[in-house]
Amino acid sequence: MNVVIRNRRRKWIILLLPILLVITCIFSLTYGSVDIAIKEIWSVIIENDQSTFHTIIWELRLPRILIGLLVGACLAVSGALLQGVMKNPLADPGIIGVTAGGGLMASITMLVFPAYGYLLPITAFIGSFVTAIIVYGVAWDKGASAFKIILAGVAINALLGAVQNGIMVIFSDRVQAVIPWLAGGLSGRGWYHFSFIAPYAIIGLLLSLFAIRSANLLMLGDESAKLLGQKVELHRFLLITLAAFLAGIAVSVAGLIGFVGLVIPHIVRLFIGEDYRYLLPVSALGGAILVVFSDTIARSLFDPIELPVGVLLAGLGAPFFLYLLKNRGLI
Amino acid sequence: MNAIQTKDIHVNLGNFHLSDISVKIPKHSITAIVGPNGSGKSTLLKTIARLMKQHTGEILVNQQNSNTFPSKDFAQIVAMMPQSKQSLPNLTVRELISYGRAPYHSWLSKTNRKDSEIIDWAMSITNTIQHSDRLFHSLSGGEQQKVRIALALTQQSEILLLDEPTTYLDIAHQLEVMEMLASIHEQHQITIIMVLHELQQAVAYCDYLIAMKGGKIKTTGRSIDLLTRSFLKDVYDIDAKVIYEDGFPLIIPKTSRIAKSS
Ligand SMILES: Nc1ncnc2c1ncn2[C@@H]1O[C@H](COP(=O)(O)OP(=O)(O)O)[C@@H](O)[C@H]1O
Ligand SMILES: [Mg+2]
Repeated sequence: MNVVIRNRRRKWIILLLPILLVITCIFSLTYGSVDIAIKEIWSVIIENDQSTFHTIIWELRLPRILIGLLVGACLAVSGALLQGVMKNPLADPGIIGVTAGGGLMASITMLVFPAYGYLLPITAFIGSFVTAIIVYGVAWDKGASAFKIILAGVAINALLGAVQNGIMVIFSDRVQAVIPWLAGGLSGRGWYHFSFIAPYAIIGLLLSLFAIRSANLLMLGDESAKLLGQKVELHRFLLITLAAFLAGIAVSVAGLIGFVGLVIPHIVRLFIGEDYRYLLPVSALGGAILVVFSDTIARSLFDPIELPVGVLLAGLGAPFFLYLLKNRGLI
Repeated sequence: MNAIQTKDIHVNLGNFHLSDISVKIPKHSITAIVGPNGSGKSTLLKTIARLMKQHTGEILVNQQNSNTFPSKDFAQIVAMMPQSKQSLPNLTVRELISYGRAPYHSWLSKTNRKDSEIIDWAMSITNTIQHSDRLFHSLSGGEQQKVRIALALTQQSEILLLDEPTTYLDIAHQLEVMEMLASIHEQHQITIIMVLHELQQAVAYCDYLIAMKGGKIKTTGRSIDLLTRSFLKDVYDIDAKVIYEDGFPLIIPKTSRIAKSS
């Protein structure tokens, strides 16, 4: 890649992505089982017109879009951080089990301790974090290779899935409430859910700005980072914690959504390089756009049945992942 | 005064041991560590740079136990260019070199004017300033090597460790790098310790030699006195004679072809 081209791309992408995000949001407001003209949206949102669309826009589509934005941004940033820390371009919170760990803790909270539902983002975070540490620890042998992390992730994912199923069988009387959430989607999410995760998501995303410097130094390699005075183990631990926190937030509201954290940072890197000063914010925007857009398509595609956005994203992401594995000679 | 002193250090790498390493490196000197492949030169340099931990023994930096320095303070005193085994990310030369200022920054502060001046200085002294906007991976081996040296120089440390700064370079680039290091040493009175394979250059450019073999120090001393026929026999197990031409040593090995033709 040529520097002039890279820098020009950076400028354009930083300029265009926010515009694309706004367009995606408008598209998501207008498009669906009921198509709403932009004019109507204007009068409902700006002029507070109490028309028939008022409920659809205010109570259904808008909160769902906002949640999608946060979920997408958190997942993409989580993926970008994990890839840096694990020195593994294939790390994704979904693939390596971090999401499943969060999901398991979240379902335990919902099924076994429903009274503590308000702690959901915290318990999901704990599940994600413990899983991340286990995967990394299992794969570690004087460095953790990309392949080992993926294999460890597959095994942990299988184990977590089994425990998940076991719990669902035992608590089968309550399981109905958890199933839509497990499929990974934003169906039926409203302002309650938004206000529930927004503070966590905003804190997590702001913290990730402070992680840029550490992530960049780690990117130089452990030796070089140490020689430059970085406490490598400490920073790696802090970044894994942050990545798990972000994944946990997304899981707590949207269930198991995979591949956003893989696909987005990967594409962003191709365009603008590996510098986290650009990679993190651009990935956040890209993740937000991808999730909002996919969710709009997923809820309209088989109208009146809503497809969970996690299913659609897996349909797009899994082939991409296979392509990456093949491309790197790992399979 | 010693910039570095190692007191009887032992490093255990499982199948390899660095043992009984006691050396004194005077301030403002240039020292070469030489010895056959796998003799522990990199391990010694890494241990001094705190990339590896010694199991027993003590390392003094400026007369102070090196483990007592906080990590950023240490990076302001000791910089090291590692052996070029692992590659650096594909940033521009300037972006990469600017990371040399990391020990002087907290996680909030931004690059200031002094940093920029030092980055410019490091790039001009290493002759890499004309590449400042090129991507690291697009540079030749020699150019990459000079960028890696510039990265270490940007730390403005008083002690500079270099692991094989001239390996894989042609003779012109080797001399360019050695001249550059000599002039930096002259101007800034820093202490340099480097791993070299070119014995002739080691003698020509360095005050002292440390010769290693099998994880131990075979011999040390002033470079001029040290390079002899028996030195080559002891350290490298080769038979060669050494002659001096204008103060520059020449090593003439016994080879089968020359032996046959004469
Ligand atoms: N991290 C390590 N773990 C185990 N063995 C190592 C490690 N680093 C180096 N070694 C071994 O120690 C020996 C000395 O290595 P090194 O110090 O790199 O030698 P040199 O730089 O003199 O060629 C080699 O046999 C090498 O395989
Ligand atoms: Mg070596």
